[in-house]
Amino acid sequence: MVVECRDVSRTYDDDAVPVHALRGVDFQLAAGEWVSLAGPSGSGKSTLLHVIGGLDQPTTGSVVVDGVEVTALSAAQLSDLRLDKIGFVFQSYNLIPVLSALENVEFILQLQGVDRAERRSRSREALHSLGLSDLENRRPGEMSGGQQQRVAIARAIVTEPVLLLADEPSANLDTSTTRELLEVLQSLNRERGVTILTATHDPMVMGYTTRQVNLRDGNVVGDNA
Amino acid sequence: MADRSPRTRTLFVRVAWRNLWRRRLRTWMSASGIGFAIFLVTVGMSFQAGTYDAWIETATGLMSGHAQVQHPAYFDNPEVRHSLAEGTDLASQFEGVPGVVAVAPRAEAFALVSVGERSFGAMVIGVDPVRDAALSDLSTHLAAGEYLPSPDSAFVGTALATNLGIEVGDEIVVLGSGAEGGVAALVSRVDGMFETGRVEVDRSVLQVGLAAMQAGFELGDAVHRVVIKTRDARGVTGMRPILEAAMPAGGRLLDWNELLPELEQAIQIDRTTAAMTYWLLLVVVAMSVVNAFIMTVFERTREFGMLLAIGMRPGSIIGMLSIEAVCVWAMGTVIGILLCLLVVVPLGMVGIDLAGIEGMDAMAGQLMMPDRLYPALNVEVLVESPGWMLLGTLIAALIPALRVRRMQVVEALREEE
Repeated sequence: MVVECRDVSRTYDDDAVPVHALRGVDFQLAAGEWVSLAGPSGSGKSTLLHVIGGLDQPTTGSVVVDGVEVTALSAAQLSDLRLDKIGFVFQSYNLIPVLSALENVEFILQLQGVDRAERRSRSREALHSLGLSDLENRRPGEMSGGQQQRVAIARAIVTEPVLLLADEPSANLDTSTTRELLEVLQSLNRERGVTILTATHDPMVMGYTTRQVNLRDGNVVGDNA
Repeated sequence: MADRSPRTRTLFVRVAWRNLWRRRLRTWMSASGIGFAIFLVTVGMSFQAGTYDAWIETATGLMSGHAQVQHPAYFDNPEVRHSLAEGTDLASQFEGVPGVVAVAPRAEAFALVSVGERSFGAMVIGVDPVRDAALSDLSTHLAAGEYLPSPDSAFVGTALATNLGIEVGDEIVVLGSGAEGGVAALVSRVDGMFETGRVEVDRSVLQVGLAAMQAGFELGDAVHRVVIKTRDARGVTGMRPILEAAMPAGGRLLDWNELLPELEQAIQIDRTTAAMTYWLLLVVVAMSVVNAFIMTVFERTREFGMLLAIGMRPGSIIGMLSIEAVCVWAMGTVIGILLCLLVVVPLGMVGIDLAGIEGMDAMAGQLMMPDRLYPALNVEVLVESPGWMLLGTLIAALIPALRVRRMQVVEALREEE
């Protein structure tokens, strides 16, 4: 299993009334799967994604990613886990605005300490696989939303992570661009065996995934595995 | 894997530099503020350095020289018997020392100067007119007559001459205690008068020929001071080992800091007063840099959240912000130093005419100021304020940047959404 969540709860105590975002969730994700976490706003899908990605800590329960117990890691170890094992694609593209497409992809390899020749070659290959070879010198502000999201995917896969997490990746895209993006993710999943976990409430996204897990009020209420 | 390799730092510099230009106006405002502060402080310090050089040259140039060799007891107890034997030979020993530009032996005693019914106490100094003129500018303050043209000449301060009621050509009698305890007597002709503008000197100093002084005060070839002028007054402390090597056993070497402690104190007081103004200025500018970086961190919260999410450590992000701060500082420093050079270099060549400033001429003697002030540039002037400003800029950047350490990634990613 790439991901194993056992009895995961997440409660936010920031306000006077505690908010239970996750209530004892059990969830497994096998290598090569593309799973969508579906549900309405506030169902806990993004929280579960963040907990699995080490961006947030569960209040109780166990989260294991690629054999590593995430809840036992220090902040620095969590950074390394995210850097080396997890690729992130965010709703709002989230590229570094002052870097070109190529530099954005290279950036994460540079954080890993990969030498210049290798990171350049791998970054170009990642951009090429997503049909972005002609745009490698463009900065995010000079690209469309769909192009930026594809660069974000290139950045996420260039490190060859064990898991790709995508949080509402189609939220800011039109239908045709969403379809293009989903075909890219499908190709990565089918041809390169990339394991993908997507939080979405977009039916089109759910239609592409191999498995759908439904959440409501912090509980798993359906799984078509 | 570590994210702190040298390659990564090169990348940080690139990202940091480009980030500066996302808010051009803010960057230029911050750099200009830093530059203006550095400009004001370096110009101020160069004027101070020029002033101190002038103070030192004026104060040491009148009488004391840059260093002196004396009998070990003479500085604390200036009695006639505390002299150095074979003073003329001793002076010659220092003339060959590298960095020494002039040496002059002096014999001196406090004595009663009389003309007719009038008598006044004065410091009588026996000098070699040729050697002394090479290191003391007393002879340039000639108010009347000539500077010690013959062995029995006397060179008198105008205030003392007025008190005694004498003019050039009059004879004076000097009475004091000789080195052997007997009465010392000397008769000299006033061939010249000086006016330095420093009342205590003009009222109480009288120069005579060294040989006449030594004969009159039973000194033989002994002297009380061997006065040394070096190439650079500020470098005299560093020359101590060489000068001490040339000094006879039983001598005591004193540099101008020891001979004129009030001068060193005046410099320190002036430095401290100015430093308070400079610090205030630097702190005000640093506060504006804090403000700029607070804006930067708040505006880029989501970006920092994304960087944390993809595995960049908070320390690396803070490091990147520090590089941005250093870049702004570097721009400001270039601006400040260039402006400073534009102002100080030409003024350093032509000087500022202090004599032309109303009221300054009369004060010049008291303030130990020359006619022209030359602002001076040195390493301290050019490095000190940029150095402190670098520290201030880094602290100013780090205060808001440390917020990254407390940043919750998920919350940061939701910023501005």
